[in-house]
Amino acid sequence: MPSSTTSSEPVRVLLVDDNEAMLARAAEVLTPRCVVVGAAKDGPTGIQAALALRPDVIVLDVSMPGMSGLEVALWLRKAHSTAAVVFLSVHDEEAFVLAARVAGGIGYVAKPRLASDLIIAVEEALAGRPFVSPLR
Amino acid sequence: MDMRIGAGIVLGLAATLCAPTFWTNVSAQDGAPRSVLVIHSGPETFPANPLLDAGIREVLASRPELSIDCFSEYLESDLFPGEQATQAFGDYLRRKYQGHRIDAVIAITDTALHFALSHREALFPDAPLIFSGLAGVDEARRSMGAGITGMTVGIAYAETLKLALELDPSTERVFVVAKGRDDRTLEAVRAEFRDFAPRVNITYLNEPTVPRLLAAIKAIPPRSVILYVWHSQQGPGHIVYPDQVARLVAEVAPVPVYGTSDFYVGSGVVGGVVRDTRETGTRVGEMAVRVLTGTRAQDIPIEGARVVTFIDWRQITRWGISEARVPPGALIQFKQPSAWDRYKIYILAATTLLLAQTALIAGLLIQRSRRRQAEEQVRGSQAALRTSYERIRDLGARLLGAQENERSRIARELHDDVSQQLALLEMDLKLLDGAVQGDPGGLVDEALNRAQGIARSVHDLSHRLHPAKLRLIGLVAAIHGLQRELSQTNIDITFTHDNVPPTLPPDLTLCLFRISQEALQNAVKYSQARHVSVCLHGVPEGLALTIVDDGVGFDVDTAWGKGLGLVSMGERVEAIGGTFQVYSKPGAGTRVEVNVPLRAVEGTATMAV
Repeated sequence: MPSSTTSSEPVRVLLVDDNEAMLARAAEVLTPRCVVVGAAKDGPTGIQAALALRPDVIVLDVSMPGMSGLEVALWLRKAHSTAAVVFLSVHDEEAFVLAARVAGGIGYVAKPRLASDLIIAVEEALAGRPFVSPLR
Repeated sequence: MDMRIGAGIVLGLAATLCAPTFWTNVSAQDGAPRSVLVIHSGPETFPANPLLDAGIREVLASRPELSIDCFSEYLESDLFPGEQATQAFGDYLRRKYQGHRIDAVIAITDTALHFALSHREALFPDAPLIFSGLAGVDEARRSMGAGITGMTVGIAYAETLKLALELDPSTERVFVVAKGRDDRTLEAVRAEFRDFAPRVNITYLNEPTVPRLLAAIKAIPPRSVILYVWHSQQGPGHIVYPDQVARLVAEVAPVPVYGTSDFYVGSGVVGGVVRDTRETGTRVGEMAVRVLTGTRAQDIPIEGARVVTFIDWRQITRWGISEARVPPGALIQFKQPSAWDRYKIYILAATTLLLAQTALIAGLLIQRSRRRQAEEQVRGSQAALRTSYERIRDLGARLLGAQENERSRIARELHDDVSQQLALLEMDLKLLDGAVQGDPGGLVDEALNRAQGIARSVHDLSHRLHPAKLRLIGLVAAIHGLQRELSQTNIDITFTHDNVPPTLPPDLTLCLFRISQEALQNAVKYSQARHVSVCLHGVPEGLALTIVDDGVGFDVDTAWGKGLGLVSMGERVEAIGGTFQVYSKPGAGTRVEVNVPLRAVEGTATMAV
């Protein structure tokens, strides 16, 4: 369960994506509403960071080399992580959305819509509500 | 004829009136039985006598029309010497044959001839005499009475010694056994051997008893021969005939023994030049027949008995005498046929059989060896074939693997780099869209649309090359994706699945996905099917994938060789140890069945996912 926050306290976010530009863009989009407590470039690093930093929200890329975001999410759930998971993906198909939900994601943002949708998805996630970018 | 009958009657009457004499008649009446009396000087058991009798009787019996009776009597003067015994024998004959007519008398040996001549007038005055003896009679006396004829049986002692020396030229000494009742025998032998004196040393063994003779024989040195002429030992209750002595001598002799009578043949002597006693009997018998059939005895010339050389084959073998030394014309007796002579046919047959069998066995062995070679070659080529087949399969699998790896690499490149960049570009354009005031001609929107179009194309291309879904969301989701992608208005694709494990080995996932992809694409492109169903079932052994369409179908055998579709599907399944079957007939739809095993340990992931 995502922890409840007040508007004065910035939301602590962990970013996990293998693409550096994407990491930078996401951080840009989330600031200043959120504070990016960490950024990881692969699944295992992401898991370590999540367990160490205990962020409120984890923004997780679905497809990464090696461990995929779906696997990272499943792993975190097994490790009783309380962070809300918002998936970020270039795949805008229902099968992926479904898989993301099964893996424990509450939000699903299509990467081209990152600028507009990510902050909403994070906010919704904090409120305990799912969010999915409109699919093409 | 009448005259003769008359004479017979007159004589008969005279005989009856005068004295108890035999009835004799030289010119016997036809049809009336005739009688022949044989007088031997020796006993019945003397070895020569049965032979002579047999010869005589054989001839007489060969003329049954003459109805001849033959009687043998034995003077036995050796055993019963003296005038009284001889006289008693004469009396015996007279009384025995009283009332019988004797038509001819045969006297065996000079002694018997002497008796017959002495008692002729009293016993058988009218019977012609036929003799067999050494001396015989003077020509002058032959026409006395009813006449005399016969055979002189000569002695061949010298010839026998000559034979002995021929058979063993190294002989140095000769031991002669020639002990008769008196010295006459010995004298005769000495006379015969006079000429041999310088050639060999001749010793006469004149031992009176058999034991002493045998002792002397045993002492004879090597390089000697024994010439056995005669040895008789006669005493009251102890009579030994010369043939028996010959046997005893031959038994103990350390050197070869030669004999001078044919009745020594077979007693152990090596050989000798002898007369044939039986033949003598035959000749004498023939003379008797001639006399009985009317020939005057004195008109029949006196014959000399023929001598023959006989050799006992067993003895020359025993003494190691070469058969080549045996003079030509010699009668070789007791020759034991060799194994070859006796079993020639069997030996030849057995040898032939053996050779045939050997040839057969050899043939079979050669054939077996050839067959083994051929089998070896076949095995070799089979192994080579298998190796090359496995190499090809391995190569196929590697090619597929390499292809998949390359596709996967390109797909990932497209996704991880190009797609991300495009996403970022899209974001930038969107930002730009908000920032630019009064966009002339909606340029930013157009750019955004274009960027989105490129992103979709890249995504599709990446997906076709290697679906990221497989790894990210699994086989079932990936097949759902295929189902959605390929569904068209005129074709209905259904996908059912059950018992599919959530995680599967990557190579198996890829294999089943690729087969589904290929089969669905084929169905959509070529089958004109209205309906295609894909079923994925978890079964105890693994997974079963079935893809069925109701399209036009095709000939599987023909299609197999064309293109890579069916072949590569089969190769993929084989590479992970599964089975692949395609059932199709023109007009009857197509059914593809794949069964793959699920290994306990996740398989060797040769193909990246």
